Amino acid sequence: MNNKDSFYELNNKFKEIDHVIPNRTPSDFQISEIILEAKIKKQKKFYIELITFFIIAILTLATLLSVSIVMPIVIIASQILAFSVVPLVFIAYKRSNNAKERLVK
Amino acid sequence: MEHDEYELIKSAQQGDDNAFASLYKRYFDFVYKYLIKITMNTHLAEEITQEALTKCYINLNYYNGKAKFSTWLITIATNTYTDYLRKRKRERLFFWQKTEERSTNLQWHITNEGVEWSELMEGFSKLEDEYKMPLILKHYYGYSYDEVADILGVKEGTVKSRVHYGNQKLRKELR
Repeated sequence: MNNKDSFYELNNKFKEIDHVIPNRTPSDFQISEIILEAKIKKQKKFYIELITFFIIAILTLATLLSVSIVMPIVIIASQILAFSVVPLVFIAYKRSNNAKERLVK
Repeated sequence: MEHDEYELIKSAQQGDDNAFASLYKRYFDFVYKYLIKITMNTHLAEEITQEALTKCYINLNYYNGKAKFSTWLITIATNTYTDYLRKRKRERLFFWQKTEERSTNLQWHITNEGVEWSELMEGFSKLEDEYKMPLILKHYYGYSYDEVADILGVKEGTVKSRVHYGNQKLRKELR
């Protein structure tokens, strides 16, 4: 059996499976229960993200504050580095993207 | 995308639960039947479909309409199944079953309905999931290599090689 035949047979089998296996769509009541559960999960996820954000913000702030007190030069150097390196990275990224787009066209 | 579907998605994103319920009803069986082909087990497919659609509800605001909604759902379902496999592997639960063992559930279901479980299906059920997924997405659902790569979160070349090796393995099983 060559590739085409085997895919043709496999596709037919899958079509049969789709046809034979009964649908399982939940009832309206079950769906409303599922949505309620999902809502609780969504709220939980939101609070976890919020707490994580605050913890990271506090830690970053504390680190920056202590570094700026002990070694202010580090802060100044990192700011200069960021202002000079970030535009270069952005330009390089933009150029590679443009080249890719040209290739696609 | 159909106008009606677009409206439903927009309403669901704005918090209309009735709109989401309509989407849920519309797509449940589509996702369920995709997962049956991957998991070869009706119970597992149903469980993962529910989990995937719950994830869809939680992350609906991230859907930007660039891909078809069905494609986005297939991506979530695939990721949910991959997470499930990873979790099971990590926990090393003793009721963890191999793919071949899981397929007996589907085999039982379809032979009960009078459909023959061919050698090809037997061979396909023995394939590892990493080969099954691209084969199904490419050849049954008709997605391009590029789209399959996006769905599975791998490079296009990886998808091509998995489809190729999947073919080879399937042919080996049939010999």
